[in-house]
Amino acid sequence: MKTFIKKNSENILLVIIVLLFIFPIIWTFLTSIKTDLDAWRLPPKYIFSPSIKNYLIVLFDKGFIGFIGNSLITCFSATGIALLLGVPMAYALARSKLKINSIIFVGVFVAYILPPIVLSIPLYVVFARLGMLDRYTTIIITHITFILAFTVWLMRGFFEEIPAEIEESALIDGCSNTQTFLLITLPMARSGLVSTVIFSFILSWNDFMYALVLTSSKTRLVSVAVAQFLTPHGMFWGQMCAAGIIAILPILVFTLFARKFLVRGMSMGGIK
Amino acid sequence: MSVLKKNSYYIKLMIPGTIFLIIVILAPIISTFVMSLQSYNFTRPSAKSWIGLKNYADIFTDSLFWESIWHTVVYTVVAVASEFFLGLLIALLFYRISKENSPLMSLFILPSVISPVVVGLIFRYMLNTEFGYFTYLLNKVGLFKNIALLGNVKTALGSVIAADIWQWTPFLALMLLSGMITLPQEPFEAAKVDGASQLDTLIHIMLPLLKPVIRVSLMLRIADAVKEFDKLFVMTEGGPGTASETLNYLSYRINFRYFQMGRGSALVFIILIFIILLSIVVLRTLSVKEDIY
Repeated sequence: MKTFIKKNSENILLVIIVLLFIFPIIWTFLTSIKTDLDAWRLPPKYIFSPSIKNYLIVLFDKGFIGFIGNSLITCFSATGIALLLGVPMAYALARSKLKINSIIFVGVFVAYILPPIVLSIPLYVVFARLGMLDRYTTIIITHITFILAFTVWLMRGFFEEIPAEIEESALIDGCSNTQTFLLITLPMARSGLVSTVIFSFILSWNDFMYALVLTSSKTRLVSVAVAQFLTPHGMFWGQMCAAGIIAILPILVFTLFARKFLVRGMSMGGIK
Repeated sequence: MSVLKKNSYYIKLMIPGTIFLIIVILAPIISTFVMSLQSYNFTRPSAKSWIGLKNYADIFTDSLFWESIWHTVVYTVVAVASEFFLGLLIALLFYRISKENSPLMSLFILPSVISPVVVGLIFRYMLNTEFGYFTYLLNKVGLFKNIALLGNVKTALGSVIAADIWQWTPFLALMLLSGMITLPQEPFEAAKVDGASQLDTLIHIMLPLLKPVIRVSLMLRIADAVKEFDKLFVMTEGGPGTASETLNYLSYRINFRYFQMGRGSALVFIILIFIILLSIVVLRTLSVKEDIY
Protein backbone atom coordinates (compact mmCIF):
# COMPACT_ATOMS: atom_id res chain seq x y z
CA MET A 1 0.00 0.00 0.00
CA LYS A 2 2.71 2.43 1.03
CA THR A 3 4.74 1.86 -2.12
CA PHE A 4 1.58 2.18 -4.19
CA ILE A 5 0.94 5.61 -2.70
CA LYS A 6 4.54 6.65 -3.19
CA LYS A 7 4.60 5.48 -6.79
CA ASN A 8 1.32 7.16 -7.64
CA SER A 9 1.49 10.19 -5.37
CA GLU A 10 1.11 12.61 -8.26
CA ASN A 11 -1.82 10.70 -9.72
CA ILE A 12 -3.52 10.60 -6.35
CA LEU A 13 -2.95 14.32 -5.79
CA LEU A 14 -4.44 15.08 -9.19
CA VAL A 15 -7.51 12.92 -8.56
CA ILE A 16 -8.04 14.70 -5.23
CA ILE A 17 -7.77 18.12 -6.88
CA VAL A 18 -10.24 17.14 -9.60
CA LEU A 19 -12.66 15.76 -7.00
CA LEU A 20 -12.38 18.99 -4.97
CA PHE A 21 -13.26 20.98 -8.07
CA ILE A 22 -16.30 18.94 -8.99
CA PHE A 23 -17.44 18.50 -5.38
CA PRO A 24 -19.83 21.52 -5.45
CA ILE A 25 -21.57 20.03 -8.50
CA ILE A 26 -21.89 16.64 -6.79
CA TRP A 27 -23.17 18.32 -3.64
CA THR A 28 -25.79 20.20 -5.64
CA PHE A 29 -26.88 16.93 -7.23
CA LEU A 30 -27.14 15.27 -3.80
CA THR A 31 -29.29 18.12 -2.49
CA SER A 32 -31.54 17.83 -5.54
CA ILE A 33 -32.42 14.22 -4.65
CA LYS A 34 -32.98 14.92 -0.95
CA THR A 35 -36.33 15.66 0.62
CA ASP A 36 -36.67 19.26 1.89
CA LEU A 37 -36.27 18.10 5.47
CA ASP A 38 -32.98 16.34 4.72
CA ALA A 39 -31.74 19.25 2.59
CA TRP A 40 -32.04 21.66 5.52
CA ARG A 41 -30.13 19.52 7.98
CA LEU A 42 -26.70 20.68 9.21
CA PRO A 43 -24.41 18.88 9.87
CA PRO A 44 -25.61 17.30 6.64
CA LYS A 45 -27.14 13.86 6.41
CA TYR A 46 -24.75 11.82 4.32
CA ILE A 47 -26.94 8.76 4.07
CA PHE A 48 -30.51 9.36 3.03
CA SER A 49 -33.17 7.82 0.84
CA PRO A 50 -33.14 9.57 -2.54
CA SER A 51 -36.27 11.02 -4.09
CA ILE A 52 -36.97 12.43 -7.52
CA LYS A 53 -39.83 14.57 -6.19
CA ASN A 54 -37.90 17.82 -6.75
CA TYR A 55 -37.33 16.98 -10.41
CA LEU A 56 -41.01 16.18 -10.95
CA ILE A 57 -42.03 19.48 -9.33
CA VAL A 58 -39.49 21.48 -11.35
CA LEU A 59 -40.29 19.81 -14.68
CA PHE A 60 -44.08 19.77 -14.47
CA ASP A 61 -45.32 22.23 -11.82
CA LYS A 62 -42.73 24.93 -12.53
CA GLY A 63 -42.96 24.49 -16.29
CA PHE A 64 -39.37 23.46 -17.01
CA ILE A 65 -40.52 21.10 -19.75
CA GLY A 66 -41.61 24.21 -21.66
CA PHE A 67 -38.42 26.17 -20.85
CA ILE A 68 -36.27 23.26 -22.01
CA GLY A 69 -38.27 23.26 -25.25
CA ASN A 70 -37.69 27.02 -25.65
CA SER A 71 -33.98 26.63 -25.02
CA LEU A 72 -33.69 23.73 -27.47
CA ILE A 73 -35.56 25.62 -30.21
CA THR A 74 -33.27 28.61 -29.69
CA CYS A 75 -30.05 26.57 -29.51
CA PHE A 76 -30.73 24.48 -32.60
CA SER A 77 -32.01 27.34 -34.76
CA ALA A 78 -29.25 29.75 -33.76
CA THR A 79 -26.49 27.14 -34.11
CA GLY A 80 -27.83 25.98 -37.50
CA ILE A 81 -28.13 29.44 -39.02
CA ALA A 82 -24.80 30.57 -37.59
CA LEU A 83 -23.10 27.54 -39.15
CA LEU A 84 -24.65 28.23 -42.55
CA LEU A 85 -23.39 31.82 -42.44
CA GLY A 86 -20.16 31.24 -40.56
CA VAL A 87 -18.55 28.11 -42.01
CA PRO A 88 -18.24 29.45 -45.59
CA MET A 89 -17.02 32.74 -44.14
CA ALA A 90 -14.36 30.99 -42.05
CA TYR A 91 -13.28 28.98 -45.08
CA ALA A 92 -12.94 32.10 -47.22
CA LEU A 93 -10.98 33.85 -44.46
CA ALA A 94 -8.63 30.88 -44.12
CA ARG A 95 -7.95 30.52 -47.85
CA SER A 96 -8.03 33.99 -49.37
CA LYS A 97 -5.43 36.73 -49.02
CA LEU A 98 -7.66 39.75 -49.46
CA LYS A 99 -6.85 43.10 -47.92
CA ILE A 100 -10.27 43.24 -46.28
CA ASN A 101 -9.64 39.96 -44.38
CA SER A 102 -7.83 41.58 -41.48
CA ILE A 103 -10.63 44.12 -40.97
CA ILE A 104 -13.28 41.39 -41.05
CA PHE A 105 -11.19 39.32 -38.68
CA VAL A 106 -10.85 42.13 -36.14
CA GLY A 107 -14.62 42.64 -36.40
CA VAL A 108 -15.25 38.95 -35.80
CA PHE A 109 -12.96 38.86 -32.78
CA VAL A 110 -14.56 41.94 -31.24
CA ALA A 111 -17.96 40.32 -31.81
CA TYR A 112 -16.64 37.14 -30.15
CA ILE A 113 -15.64 38.83 -26.89
CA LEU A 114 -18.29 41.58 -26.97
CA PRO A 115 -20.01 41.98 -23.58
CA PRO A 116 -23.74 41.19 -23.99
CA ILE A 117 -24.64 44.49 -22.32
CA VAL A 118 -23.29 46.38 -25.36
CA LEU A 119 -25.78 44.84 -27.77
CA SER A 120 -28.64 44.31 -25.37
CA ILE A 121 -29.48 48.02 -25.06
CA PRO A 122 -29.88 48.88 -28.76
CA LEU A 123 -31.43 45.47 -29.55
CA TYR A 124 -33.89 45.89 -26.68
CA VAL A 125 -34.88 49.34 -27.91
CA VAL A 126 -35.30 48.21 -31.52
CA PHE A 127 -37.15 44.97 -30.75
CA ALA A 128 -39.41 46.74 -28.24
CA ARG A 129 -40.34 49.32 -30.90
CA LEU A 130 -41.09 46.55 -33.38
CA GLY A 131 -43.21 44.78 -30.75
CA MET A 132 -40.94 41.76 -31.00
CA LEU A 133 -39.86 41.20 -27.39
CA ASP A 134 -40.51 37.68 -26.10
CA ARG A 135 -40.46 36.07 -29.57
CA TYR A 136 -38.33 33.17 -30.78
CA THR A 137 -37.08 35.20 -33.78
CA THR A 138 -35.68 37.88 -31.47
CA ILE A 139 -33.71 35.62 -29.16
CA ILE A 140 -32.51 33.46 -32.08
CA ILE A 141 -31.18 36.48 -34.03
CA THR A 142 -29.46 37.70 -30.89
CA HIS A 143 -27.83 34.35 -30.18
CA ILE A 144 -26.58 34.15 -33.77
CA THR A 145 -24.48 37.28 -33.13
CA PHE A 146 -22.09 35.58 -30.74
CA ILE A 147 -22.34 32.05 -32.18
CA LEU A 148 -21.52 33.30 -35.68
CA ALA A 149 -18.45 35.15 -34.44
CA PHE A 150 -17.36 32.10 -32.45
CA THR A 151 -17.91 29.76 -35.43
CA VAL A 152 -15.82 31.91 -37.76
CA TRP A 153 -13.07 32.28 -35.14
CA LEU A 154 -12.86 28.54 -34.46
CA MET A 155 -13.46 27.13 -37.95
CA ARG A 156 -10.88 29.41 -39.55
CA GLY A 157 -8.29 27.74 -37.33
CA PHE A 158 -9.48 24.26 -38.32
CA PHE A 159 -9.52 25.10 -42.05
CA GLU A 160 -6.00 26.46 -41.85
CA GLU A 161 -4.81 23.08 -40.61
CA ILE A 162 -5.93 21.49 -43.89
CA PRO A 163 -3.33 21.87 -46.65
CA ALA A 164 -4.58 23.85 -49.67
CA GLU A 165 -2.74 21.52 -52.09
CA ILE A 166 -5.44 18.86 -51.74
CA GLU A 167 -8.00 21.36 -53.00
CA GLU A 168 -5.84 22.35 -55.94
CA SER A 169 -5.61 18.78 -57.21
CA ALA A 170 -9.40 18.45 -56.88
CA LEU A 171 -9.82 21.62 -58.94
CA ILE A 172 -7.48 20.26 -61.61
CA ASP A 173 -9.57 17.08 -61.71
CA GLY A 174 -12.52 19.24 -62.70
CA CYS A 175 -14.36 19.89 -59.42
CA SER A 176 -15.99 23.29 -59.11
CA ASN A 177 -15.05 25.57 -56.20
CA THR A 178 -18.23 24.69 -54.33
CA GLN A 179 -17.79 20.96 -54.95
CA THR A 180 -14.22 21.14 -53.66
CA PHE A 181 -15.34 22.98 -50.53
CA LEU A 182 -18.33 20.74 -49.77
CA LEU A 183 -16.95 17.34 -50.84
CA ILE A 184 -13.21 17.60 -50.08
CA THR A 185 -12.45 20.28 -47.49
CA LEU A 186 -15.55 20.16 -45.28
CA PRO A 187 -15.37 16.38 -44.63
CA MET A 188 -11.72 16.79 -43.66
CA ALA A 189 -12.69 19.47 -41.13
CA ARG A 190 -15.50 17.40 -39.63
CA SER A 191 -13.98 16.89 -36.18
CA GLY A 192 -13.45 20.64 -35.95
CA LEU A 193 -17.03 21.09 -37.08
CA VAL A 194 -18.27 18.81 -34.30
CA SER A 195 -16.31 20.82 -31.70
CA THR A 196 -17.76 24.03 -33.11
CA VAL A 197 -21.34 22.70 -33.04
CA ILE A 198 -20.99 21.45 -29.46
CA PHE A 199 -19.53 24.73 -28.27
CA SER A 200 -22.05 26.84 -30.17
CA PHE A 201 -24.80 24.83 -28.54
CA ILE A 202 -23.27 25.32 -25.09
CA LEU A 203 -22.80 29.07 -25.61
CA SER A 204 -26.42 29.46 -26.64
CA TRP A 205 -27.71 27.21 -23.86
CA ASN A 206 -25.67 29.06 -21.21
CA ASP A 207 -26.57 32.60 -22.29
CA PHE A 208 -28.20 34.50 -19.48
CA MET A 209 -28.14 38.24 -20.08
CA TYR A 210 -29.73 38.35 -23.54
CA ALA A 211 -32.39 35.92 -22.37
CA LEU A 212 -33.00 37.99 -19.23
CA VAL A 213 -33.49 41.21 -21.21
CA LEU A 214 -35.25 39.96 -24.35
CA THR A 215 -37.50 37.11 -23.23
CA SER A 216 -40.34 36.76 -20.75
CA SER A 217 -43.21 34.33 -20.14
CA LYS A 218 -43.67 32.95 -23.67
CA THR A 219 -40.06 32.23 -24.66
CA ARG A 220 -38.31 32.03 -21.27
CA LEU A 221 -35.08 30.06 -21.47
CA VAL A 222 -33.81 27.56 -18.90
CA SER A 223 -31.02 29.85 -17.66
CA VAL A 224 -33.43 32.62 -16.68
CA ALA A 225 -35.95 30.17 -15.25
CA VAL A 226 -33.24 28.77 -12.96
CA ALA A 227 -32.36 32.22 -11.64
CA GLN A 228 -36.03 32.81 -10.85
CA PHE A 229 -35.88 30.27 -8.07
CA LEU A 230 -34.22 33.02 -6.06
CA THR A 231 -37.03 34.79 -4.33
CA PRO A 232 -36.80 37.10 -1.33
CA HIS A 233 -39.35 34.97 0.57
CA GLY A 234 -38.08 31.51 1.34
CA MET A 235 -36.01 29.28 -0.86
CA PHE A 236 -36.73 25.79 -1.97
CA TRP A 237 -33.13 24.64 -2.13
CA GLY A 238 -33.98 21.13 -3.24
CA GLN A 239 -36.01 22.37 -6.19
CA MET A 240 -33.44 25.00 -7.00
CA CYS A 241 -30.67 22.41 -7.09
CA ALA A 242 -32.81 20.14 -9.28
CA ALA A 243 -33.37 23.04 -11.67
CA GLY A 244 -29.62 23.75 -11.66
CA ILE A 245 -28.81 20.12 -12.49
CA ILE A 246 -31.36 20.16 -15.33
CA ALA A 247 -29.75 23.34 -16.63
CA ILE A 248 -26.29 21.73 -16.81
CA LEU A 249 -27.49 18.34 -18.05
CA PRO A 250 -26.66 18.85 -21.75
CA ILE A 251 -23.12 19.82 -20.76
CA LEU A 252 -22.74 16.75 -18.54
CA VAL A 253 -23.90 14.63 -21.50
CA PHE A 254 -21.34 16.25 -23.82
CA THR A 255 -18.64 15.62 -21.22
CA LEU A 256 -19.50 11.93 -21.11
CA PHE A 257 -19.96 11.29 -24.83
CA ALA A 258 -17.87 13.91 -26.60
CA ARG A 259 -15.09 14.83 -24.23
CA LYS A 260 -12.40 14.94 -26.90
CA PHE A 261 -14.39 17.45 -28.95
CA LEU A 262 -15.17 19.47 -25.84
CA VAL A 263 -11.53 19.73 -24.78
CA ARG A 264 -10.32 20.39 -28.31
CA GLY A 265 -12.92 23.07 -28.96
CA MET A 266 -12.12 24.83 -25.74
CA SER A 267 -8.37 24.89 -26.23
CA MET A 268 -8.68 25.91 -29.90
CA GLY A 269 -10.98 28.79 -28.97
CA GLY A 270 -8.11 30.56 -27.34
CA ILE A 271 -4.98 29.21 -28.92
CA LYS A 272 -5.47 29.54 -32.65
CA MET B 1 -7.89 29.32 -62.46
CA SER B 2 -7.28 33.04 -62.26
CA VAL B 3 -6.65 34.65 -58.91
CA LEU B 4 -9.35 37.20 -59.64
CA LYS B 5 -12.01 34.53 -60.16
CA LYS B 6 -10.90 32.71 -57.05
CA ASN B 7 -11.09 35.92 -55.01
CA SER B 8 -14.57 36.72 -56.22
CA TYR B 9 -15.61 33.24 -55.09
CA TYR B 10 -14.20 33.84 -51.62
CA ILE B 11 -15.90 37.23 -51.42
CA LYS B 12 -19.23 35.60 -52.27
CA LEU B 13 -18.76 33.19 -49.36
CA MET B 14 -18.07 36.02 -46.95
CA ILE B 15 -20.89 38.37 -47.96
CA PRO B 16 -23.89 36.83 -46.08
CA GLY B 17 -22.09 36.51 -42.73
CA THR B 18 -20.51 39.93 -43.03
CA ILE B 19 -23.82 41.61 -43.83
CA PHE B 20 -25.40 39.90 -40.82
CA LEU B 21 -22.60 41.10 -38.55
CA ILE B 22 -22.89 44.66 -39.89
CA ILE B 23 -26.67 44.81 -39.37
CA VAL B 24 -26.88 43.11 -35.99
CA ILE B 25 -23.58 44.19 -34.42
CA LEU B 26 -22.07 47.23 -36.08
CA ALA B 27 -25.35 49.13 -36.46
CA PRO B 28 -26.36 48.61 -32.80
CA ILE B 29 -22.89 49.69 -31.65
CA ILE B 30 -23.19 52.91 -33.64
CA SER B 31 -26.68 53.51 -32.27
CA THR B 32 -25.33 52.97 -28.74
CA PHE B 33 -22.87 55.76 -29.34
CA VAL B 34 -25.63 57.99 -30.73
CA MET B 35 -27.82 57.25 -27.68
CA SER B 36 -24.91 58.08 -25.37
CA LEU B 37 -25.06 61.67 -26.67
CA GLN B 38 -28.71 61.99 -25.74
CA SER B 39 -30.77 62.43 -22.65
CA TYR B 40 -32.99 59.41 -23.12
CA ASN B 41 -35.19 57.47 -20.75
CA PHE B 42 -36.84 54.45 -22.35
CA THR B 43 -40.01 54.91 -20.29
CA ARG B 44 -40.39 58.51 -21.54
CA PRO B 45 -39.31 58.33 -25.19
CA SER B 46 -40.83 61.75 -26.04
CA ALA B 47 -38.47 63.57 -23.65
CA LYS B 48 -35.40 62.80 -25.79
CA SER B 49 -32.87 65.56 -26.39
CA TRP B 50 -29.29 66.01 -27.59
CA ILE B 51 -26.91 66.86 -24.78
CA GLY B 52 -23.51 66.23 -26.36
CA LEU B 53 -20.96 64.76 -24.00
CA LYS B 54 -22.87 65.61 -20.81
CA ASN B 55 -23.59 61.92 -20.07
CA TYR B 56 -19.86 61.24 -20.08
CA ALA B 57 -19.13 64.30 -17.93
CA ASP B 58 -21.78 63.17 -15.43
CA ILE B 59 -20.33 59.67 -15.31
CA PHE B 60 -16.80 60.87 -14.65
CA THR B 61 -17.96 62.99 -11.69
CA ASP B 62 -20.10 60.19 -10.24
CA SER B 63 -18.49 58.44 -7.27
CA LEU B 64 -20.51 55.28 -8.01
CA PHE B 65 -18.73 55.02 -11.36
CA TRP B 66 -15.27 55.18 -9.79
CA GLU B 67 -16.34 52.75 -7.09
CA SER B 68 -17.53 50.33 -9.76
CA ILE B 69 -14.26 50.72 -11.68
CA TRP B 70 -12.38 49.87 -8.49
CA HIS B 71 -14.52 46.77 -7.93
CA THR B 72 -13.95 45.72 -11.54
CA VAL B 73 -10.19 46.13 -11.17
CA VAL B 74 -10.09 44.19 -7.88
CA TYR B 75 -12.31 41.46 -9.30
CA THR B 76 -10.30 41.11 -12.50
CA VAL B 77 -6.83 41.26 -10.97
CA VAL B 78 -7.47 38.98 -7.99
CA ALA B 79 -9.55 36.45 -9.93
CA VAL B 80 -7.39 36.20 -13.05
CA ALA B 81 -4.08 36.18 -11.14
CA SER B 82 -5.25 33.40 -8.79
CA GLU B 83 -6.67 31.41 -11.68
CA PHE B 84 -3.42 31.73 -13.57
CA PHE B 85 -1.19 30.52 -10.74
CA LEU B 86 -3.52 27.72 -9.66
CA GLY B 87 -4.09 26.78 -13.30
CA LEU B 88 -0.36 26.69 -13.99
CA LEU B 89 0.32 24.42 -10.99
CA ILE B 90 -2.45 22.02 -11.95
CA ALA B 91 -1.43 22.05 -15.64
CA LEU B 92 2.14 21.16 -14.61
CA LEU B 93 0.84 18.27 -12.53
CA PHE B 94 -1.23 17.00 -15.50
CA TYR B 95 1.80 17.46 -17.77
CA ARG B 96 4.14 15.48 -15.51
CA ILE B 97 1.80 12.51 -15.50
CA SER B 98 0.90 12.43 -19.16
CA LYS B 99 1.89 14.44 -22.20
CA GLU B 100 -1.62 14.41 -23.60
CA ASN B 101 -5.11 15.38 -22.47
CA SER B 102 -6.36 12.77 -20.04
CA PRO B 103 -9.98 11.79 -19.31
CA LEU B 104 -9.54 13.46 -15.92
CA MET B 105 -9.24 16.79 -17.72
CA SER B 106 -12.75 16.54 -19.14
CA LEU B 107 -14.14 16.12 -15.61
CA PHE B 108 -11.91 18.87 -14.29
CA ILE B 109 -13.10 21.29 -16.99
CA LEU B 110 -16.75 21.00 -15.88
CA PRO B 111 -16.86 24.21 -13.77
CA SER B 112 -15.80 26.23 -16.84
CA VAL B 113 -18.42 24.81 -19.20
CA ILE B 114 -21.54 24.57 -17.06
CA SER B 115 -23.94 27.54 -17.11
CA PRO B 116 -22.47 30.54 -15.25
CA VAL B 117 -25.90 31.13 -13.72
CA VAL B 118 -25.73 27.69 -12.17
CA VAL B 119 -22.23 28.43 -10.87
CA GLY B 120 -23.76 31.44 -9.14
CA LEU B 121 -26.62 29.35 -7.75
CA ILE B 122 -24.29 26.64 -6.47
CA PHE B 123 -22.22 29.19 -4.56
CA ARG B 124 -25.26 31.07 -3.35
CA TYR B 125 -26.43 27.77 -1.91
CA MET B 126 -23.06 26.62 -0.54
CA LEU B 127 -22.43 30.02 1.10
CA ASN B 128 -25.92 30.36 2.56
CA THR B 129 -25.75 31.33 6.23
CA GLU B 130 -28.11 28.66 7.53
CA PHE B 131 -27.88 25.70 5.16
CA GLY B 132 -24.67 26.29 3.20
CA TYR B 133 -22.11 23.49 3.39
CA PHE B 134 -19.14 25.82 2.79
CA THR B 135 -20.36 28.18 5.51
CA TYR B 136 -20.72 25.18 7.79
CA LEU B 137 -17.15 24.01 7.06
CA LEU B 138 -15.72 27.54 7.41
CA ASN B 139 -17.51 28.06 10.73
CA LYS B 140 -16.23 24.70 11.95
CA VAL B 141 -12.64 25.86 11.54
CA GLY B 142 -13.56 29.16 13.16
CA LEU B 143 -13.75 31.39 10.08
CA PHE B 144 -16.46 33.93 9.26
CA LYS B 145 -18.59 33.07 12.28
CA ASN B 146 -21.90 34.96 12.39
CA ILE B 147 -21.20 36.60 9.05
CA ALA B 148 -23.55 36.35 6.08
CA LEU B 149 -20.83 35.97 3.45
CA LEU B 150 -22.95 37.26 0.56
CA GLY B 151 -24.76 39.88 2.63
CA ASN B 152 -21.74 41.53 4.21
CA VAL B 153 -20.09 44.59 2.68
CA LYS B 154 -16.63 43.19 3.40
CA THR B 155 -17.09 39.67 2.07
CA ALA B 156 -19.62 39.94 -0.79
CA LEU B 157 -17.21 40.79 -3.61
CA GLY B 158 -14.66 38.30 -2.29
CA SER B 159 -17.24 35.52 -2.33
CA VAL B 160 -18.07 36.16 -5.98
CA ILE B 161 -14.34 36.22 -6.77
CA ALA B 162 -14.00 32.83 -5.03
CA ALA B 163 -16.77 31.45 -7.24
CA ASP B 164 -14.98 32.90 -10.29
CA ILE B 165 -11.72 31.22 -9.29
CA TRP B 166 -13.50 27.90 -8.90
CA GLN B 167 -15.18 28.38 -12.27
CA TRP B 168 -12.20 29.47 -14.39
CA THR B 169 -9.07 27.83 -12.93
CA PRO B 170 -9.82 24.65 -14.95
CA PHE B 171 -10.04 26.72 -18.15
CA LEU B 172 -6.60 28.22 -17.61
CA ALA B 173 -5.18 24.83 -16.66
CA LEU B 174 -6.55 23.38 -19.90
CA MET B 175 -5.21 26.22 -22.03
CA LEU B 176 -1.76 26.01 -20.45
CA LEU B 177 -1.67 22.21 -20.68
CA SER B 178 -2.72 22.34 -24.35
CA GLY B 179 0.11 24.79 -24.92
CA MET B 180 2.62 22.60 -23.03
CA ILE B 181 1.70 19.53 -25.07
CA THR B 182 2.58 21.26 -28.35
CA LEU B 183 5.99 22.49 -27.13
CA PRO B 184 9.13 21.12 -28.84
CA GLN B 185 11.02 18.65 -26.63
CA GLU B 186 14.61 19.60 -27.61
CA PRO B 187 15.07 22.63 -25.30
CA PHE B 188 13.94 20.52 -22.32
CA GLU B 189 16.32 17.69 -23.15
CA ALA B 190 19.16 20.16 -23.56
CA ALA B 191 18.34 21.69 -20.17
CA LYS B 192 18.32 18.24 -18.59
CA VAL B 193 21.74 17.48 -20.06
CA ASP B 194 23.04 20.79 -18.71
CA GLY B 195 21.74 19.84 -15.28
CA ALA B 196 19.23 22.67 -14.92
CA SER B 197 16.86 22.38 -11.96
CA GLN B 198 13.16 21.84 -12.58
CA LEU B 199 12.32 25.32 -11.35
CA ASP B 200 14.93 26.87 -13.68
CA THR B 201 13.57 24.87 -16.61
CA LEU B 202 10.08 26.11 -15.81
CA ILE B 203 11.04 29.78 -15.49
CA HIS B 204 13.65 30.06 -18.23
CA ILE B 205 12.40 27.61 -20.84
CA MET B 206 8.79 26.61 -20.45
CA LEU B 207 7.17 29.93 -19.53
CA PRO B 208 8.92 31.92 -22.30
CA LEU B 209 7.89 29.27 -24.85
CA LEU B 210 4.32 29.43 -23.56
CA LYS B 211 4.16 33.21 -23.78
CA PRO B 212 1.70 33.43 -26.71
CA VAL B 213 -0.71 30.95 -25.08
CA ILE B 214 -0.41 32.71 -21.73
CA ARG B 215 -1.08 36.13 -23.22
CA VAL B 216 -4.08 35.06 -25.25
CA SER B 217 -5.72 33.09 -22.45
CA LEU B 218 -5.13 35.90 -19.95
CA MET B 219 -6.70 38.41 -22.35
CA LEU B 220 -9.73 36.17 -22.86
CA ARG B 221 -10.10 35.82 -19.10
CA ILE B 222 -9.71 39.58 -18.55
CA ALA B 223 -12.44 40.22 -21.12
CA ASP B 224 -14.67 37.68 -19.34
CA ALA B 225 -13.98 39.15 -15.90
CA VAL B 226 -14.77 42.67 -17.10
CA LYS B 227 -18.10 41.55 -18.55
CA GLU B 228 -18.99 39.32 -15.57
CA PHE B 229 -22.72 39.50 -14.96
CA ASP B 230 -24.40 36.16 -14.31
CA LYS B 231 -22.76 35.26 -10.99
CA LEU B 232 -23.14 38.81 -9.65
CA PHE B 233 -26.83 38.81 -10.59
CA VAL B 234 -27.49 35.53 -8.83
CA MET B 235 -25.17 35.84 -5.83
CA THR B 236 -25.30 39.48 -4.70
CA GLU B 237 -27.09 41.65 -7.28
CA GLY B 238 -24.15 44.00 -6.89
CA GLY B 239 -24.92 44.38 -3.19
CA PRO B 240 -25.22 44.75 -0.32
CA GLY B 241 -25.88 48.32 -1.45
CA THR B 242 -23.29 48.69 -4.17
CA ALA B 243 -20.52 46.78 -2.36
CA SER B 244 -19.96 44.29 -5.18
CA GLU B 245 -21.12 46.36 -8.14
CA THR B 246 -18.76 46.23 -11.12
CA LEU B 247 -18.85 48.57 -14.12
CA ASN B 248 -20.77 46.02 -16.16
CA TYR B 249 -23.34 45.53 -13.40
CA LEU B 250 -23.71 49.28 -12.91
CA SER B 251 -24.48 49.66 -16.63
CA TYR B 252 -27.09 46.91 -16.39
CA ARG B 253 -28.76 48.66 -13.44
CA ILE B 254 -28.78 52.10 -15.08
CA ASN B 255 -30.12 50.69 -18.35
CA PHE B 256 -32.58 48.01 -17.32
CA ARG B 257 -33.65 48.97 -13.81
CA TYR B 258 -33.80 52.75 -14.23
CA PHE B 259 -34.11 52.69 -18.05
CA GLN B 260 -31.80 55.74 -18.26
CA MET B 261 -30.55 54.52 -21.60
CA GLY B 262 -28.73 57.70 -22.61
CA ARG B 263 -26.45 57.59 -19.63
CA GLY B 264 -26.40 53.81 -19.69
CA SER B 265 -25.21 53.80 -23.27
CA ALA B 266 -22.33 56.10 -22.33
CA LEU B 267 -21.29 53.61 -19.62
CA VAL B 268 -21.51 50.75 -22.07
CA PHE B 269 -19.46 52.64 -24.62
CA ILE B 270 -16.65 52.99 -22.09
CA ILE B 271 -16.67 49.20 -21.60
CA LEU B 272 -16.70 48.73 -25.38
CA ILE B 273 -13.62 50.89 -25.93
CA PHE B 274 -11.75 48.83 -23.34
CA ILE B 275 -12.80 45.57 -25.06
CA ILE B 276 -11.70 46.86 -28.48
CA LEU B 277 -8.27 47.85 -27.12
CA LEU B 278 -7.96 44.41 -25.55
CA SER B 279 -8.89 42.71 -28.86
CA ILE B 280 -6.19 44.60 -30.69
CA VAL B 281 -3.61 43.38 -28.17
CA VAL B 282 -4.82 39.77 -28.53
CA LEU B 283 -4.74 39.86 -32.32
CA ARG B 284 -1.26 41.40 -32.28
CA THR B 285 -0.08 38.55 -30.05
CA LEU B 286 -1.58 36.01 -32.43
CA SER B 287 -0.02 37.52 -35.54
CA VAL B 288 3.37 37.72 -33.81
CA LYS B 289 3.03 34.01 -33.01
CA GLU B 290 2.35 33.19 -36.66
CA ASP B 291 5.51 35.00 -37.69
CA ILE B 292 7.61 32.84 -35.38
CA TYR B 293 6.42 29.55 -36.84
